Amino acid sequence: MNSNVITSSSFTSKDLLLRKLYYSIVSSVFSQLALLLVYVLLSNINILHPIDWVLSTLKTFTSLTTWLFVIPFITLVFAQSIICAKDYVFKSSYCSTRFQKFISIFSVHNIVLLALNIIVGTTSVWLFSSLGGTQYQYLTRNCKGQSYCLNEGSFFLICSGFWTGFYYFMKIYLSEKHLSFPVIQQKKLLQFKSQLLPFLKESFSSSIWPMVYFLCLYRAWGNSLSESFCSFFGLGQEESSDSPMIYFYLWMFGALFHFNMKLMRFFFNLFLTEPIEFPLCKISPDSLSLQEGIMISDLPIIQNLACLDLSTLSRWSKHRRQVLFTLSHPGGHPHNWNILTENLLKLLTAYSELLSKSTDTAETIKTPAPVTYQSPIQSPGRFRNLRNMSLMSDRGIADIVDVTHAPLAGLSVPNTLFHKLTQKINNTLEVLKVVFGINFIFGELPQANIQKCLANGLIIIWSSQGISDLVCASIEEDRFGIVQKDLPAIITALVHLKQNLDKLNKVPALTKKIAGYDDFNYKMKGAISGALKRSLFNICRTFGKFLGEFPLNKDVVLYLQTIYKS
Amino acid sequence: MRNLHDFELPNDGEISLCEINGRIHSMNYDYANVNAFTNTVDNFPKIHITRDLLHPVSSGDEGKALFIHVDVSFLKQLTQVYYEQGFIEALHTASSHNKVLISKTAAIILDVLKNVQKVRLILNPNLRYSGSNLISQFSQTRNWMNNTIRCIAWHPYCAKVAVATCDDSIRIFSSDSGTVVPLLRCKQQKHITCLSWRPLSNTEIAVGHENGIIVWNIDSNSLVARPSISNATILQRPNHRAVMSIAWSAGGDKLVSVAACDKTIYVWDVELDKTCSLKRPGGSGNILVKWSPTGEKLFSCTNGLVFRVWDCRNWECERWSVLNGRIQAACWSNCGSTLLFASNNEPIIYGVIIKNDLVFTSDSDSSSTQAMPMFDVSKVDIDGVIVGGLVQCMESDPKGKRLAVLFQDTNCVAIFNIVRQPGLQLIPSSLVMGLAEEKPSAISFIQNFEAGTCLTVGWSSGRIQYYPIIYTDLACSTEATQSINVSLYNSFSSQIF
Repeated sequence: MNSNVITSSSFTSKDLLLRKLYYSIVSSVFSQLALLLVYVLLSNINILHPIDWVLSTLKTFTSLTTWLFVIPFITLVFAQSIICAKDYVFKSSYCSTRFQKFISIFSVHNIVLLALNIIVGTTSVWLFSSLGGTQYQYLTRNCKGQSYCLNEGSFFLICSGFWTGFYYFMKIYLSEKHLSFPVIQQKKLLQFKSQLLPFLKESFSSSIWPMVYFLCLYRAWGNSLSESFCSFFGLGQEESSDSPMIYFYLWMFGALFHFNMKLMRFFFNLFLTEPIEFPLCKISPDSLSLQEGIMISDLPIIQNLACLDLSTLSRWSKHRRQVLFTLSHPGGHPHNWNILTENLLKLLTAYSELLSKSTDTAETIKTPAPVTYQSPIQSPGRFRNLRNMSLMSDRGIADIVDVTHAPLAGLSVPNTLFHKLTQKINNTLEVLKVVFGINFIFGELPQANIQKCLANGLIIIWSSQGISDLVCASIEEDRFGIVQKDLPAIITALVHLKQNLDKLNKVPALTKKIAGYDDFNYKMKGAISGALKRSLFNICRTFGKFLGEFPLNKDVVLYLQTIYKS
Repeated sequence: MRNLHDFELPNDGEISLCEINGRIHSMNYDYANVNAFTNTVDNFPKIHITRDLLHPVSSGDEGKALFIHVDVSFLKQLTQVYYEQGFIEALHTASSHNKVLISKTAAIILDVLKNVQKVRLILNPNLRYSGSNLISQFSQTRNWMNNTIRCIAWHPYCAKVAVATCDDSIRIFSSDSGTVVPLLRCKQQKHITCLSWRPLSNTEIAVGHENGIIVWNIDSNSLVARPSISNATILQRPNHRAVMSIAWSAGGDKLVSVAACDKTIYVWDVELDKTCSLKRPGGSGNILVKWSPTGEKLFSCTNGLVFRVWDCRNWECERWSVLNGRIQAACWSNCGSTLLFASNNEPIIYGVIIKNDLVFTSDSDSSSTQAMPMFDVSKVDIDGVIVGGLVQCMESDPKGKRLAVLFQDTNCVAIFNIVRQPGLQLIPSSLVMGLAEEKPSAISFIQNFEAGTCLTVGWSSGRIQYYPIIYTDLACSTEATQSINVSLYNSFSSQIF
């Protein structure tokens, strides 16, 4: 039994997501509180009188004023993480043109988040500086002559908080929205421990540049800003020389904000990517099963988790595999297996169709759809996967030649003239579009579709590994030969997918020379095609002797041979 | 406990060549030819890498030797050194001269740097790295520094072998005679420590070297004799230095690496260049990692007392420790339920039974609480030949029936039978000796040898010897047929591949 995996008898996708989000939001809120406590503890440091130190910390932390500060802050963080959650859970929309990309930045969701980021940035600086007991504790102070003057240093820091929130959202949050699954699933506490120090280091280094930008900005507009602030609130201004410590505070508060945001992101990642053991058969009508989870493409996180679960069960868990290889009790149908393969094949073929569509945009001739194994008997889809041991061949289907009648040319002179004219107009339009930059803004980005495919790559990696491990385990564990009837279809789907993926090698933006090592799309392309290759290799190795018995297309067999031999 | 006296040496002047159905065949040095007894190794490549075949190792300053030393002015010399060898060397040069102000400043800066480095080392002892001596100390290869052959790795499915040599290159020999022998070599690949073919792939091999890992992808149909670096993926992490051992998961999707100066064990997703770190207290580096044949367990050992067995499903570990010294060699046997190991200061082979599944759930019924001493391999004199001593390297064959042991300072490779019933036992089988003056440097079993099992020994002369052990395994064959009978596929017989 794997203790890292959540097991639960029945749940719906909503339950699952809510539970995960609940844990991540609660832990990010509590981590903020913990950080605050550590900060107060460190700022009250008094080594000679440790008891005083602890007492003063406690005093600060239990006083009413502190909580008056903390509660609104926590509420803000809470709101921020709830709104963030949408980005991690729902399918992100892909923008195929530059214009769409530009417009999508100005969505209501983003504007609300930007506002929250700015407010949280400002309040966190305000909170840290007022709890730290420094000279920048208050925004105003008593000065001679007038009753209140502006505390220039405090104003400077709060402005920096505003800037940090803005900068973080624009620069980092918008670009790093996808979740990343860890290579291996360790305990959550261990993951947290191993990430804590690197995060701290990263935050201190990543907050240097925004600090420098802020200093430049403040140097340029800081005076006018503080003057207008003073005149608005009727505060006096006083010439004061700031100690160099203020730059240290500036850096530290910036780093703390970055650290907070990183932690929040980390908690989302930690809880959302935690593996789940899906039930293999439906317990109640609205509960979620593994087979359904694979098809939920609107909630990519659930789809990912389902595919991950498939790959782990097919590798490690014999008794769960056995559930798939059993026949239903009344009737003797392999329902569990049928639904699984049907959904998986749908997923794989959909993916390979999407790939082939995005690679053959130039070619007008459509390639024939992938040959899948189909029963010649027209029957409702639900009975399609009935066991059929007669091993039909799909060679017949593949050999059909499409005959199309080309219309006779020659008798249509006005038509050709018209044709030429329209062509000319079109050409001029194209040139104009390029000249005025319309194509640049509204034209479809060349690899948008491919990028969309590759972003979902983990699903394909896990599902292909999963199905291949399952199929290979079946040679010993499948007592009823359930897997056999679907094997040709599975192999064909995997081979077609691999062939479509091979076409990506011709896409110039995905070659090593142009993309370089660090490009995500390039790496993901390698990962998917490697995983597919290994899956096919595994099947070939296990079924090597028997593959000739399966009704496979000739080109599929040839392709398998190239994979297995080279 | 049994000891090495149970072994028998062949007659004087003869060396043992192979073992067929329990009988050891030997022949005179001069006419030694294994083909006289069996034709099972005929197809395998004949490998003898002499010193002449080695490529010169470029250290970057060959050009210097060609020029006569001339006296140049101090400033010019300083700039030269700075450009060629960097800032630190320039400081050393400056301090060694007698220029009053400059030399003193340079000496002071050097002192400061030295102290900073000392503080860094105290804070983080992993940074200490003493170059190839350290590799030599921890390596599984005997006399790693000077022997021609450093590692031998057999491909899991086909008759293909990769041999790493001391000129930082890897040659891939395959059974088809006449094909090109690809030579894998690149600037980044220095001081090779380990090799591992990727499972479920015909073309990929991972190479562990001083600064990281390189995964080469070599198309066997290609006629290129020196594949370029564009066929390789380079994996590196800061401070993960002197990679000592690497291991692929059974599915070929994960790679584990350990380094001598890094406490962290990395689990890599090779294509995505992503890692997860396994970090536990104990030791300041790791030297050996081995995946169990079933892929469920992973063995790792530190350069201290501690070694661990990880469960690969939840990545929790069972902690073991030796009384003193550290583990020098270890291998899985018995389908991953037994771990055999030897430490670096005691000539005894120990065995630990590691039960599957139960280990991590209930403590009372877990695997054995302490390792059993299995065999005393201390030095003995058999007919004038000294055998045994501290263990350098241990390998078990893919079927888990034989164990080969390479010793640190004696020249025989000992082969044991591993017996499982009634209890785990090591039975002496045979001793493999080289020609005169030959010392073994690396051993490896062929992964898919149908007639039994076959050990390959890389000798210090650069020769690779095959030692086939041929037997008909009754127990194994009945098991196999039984398992196949369960499924429905036994009716098929035609072959496609």
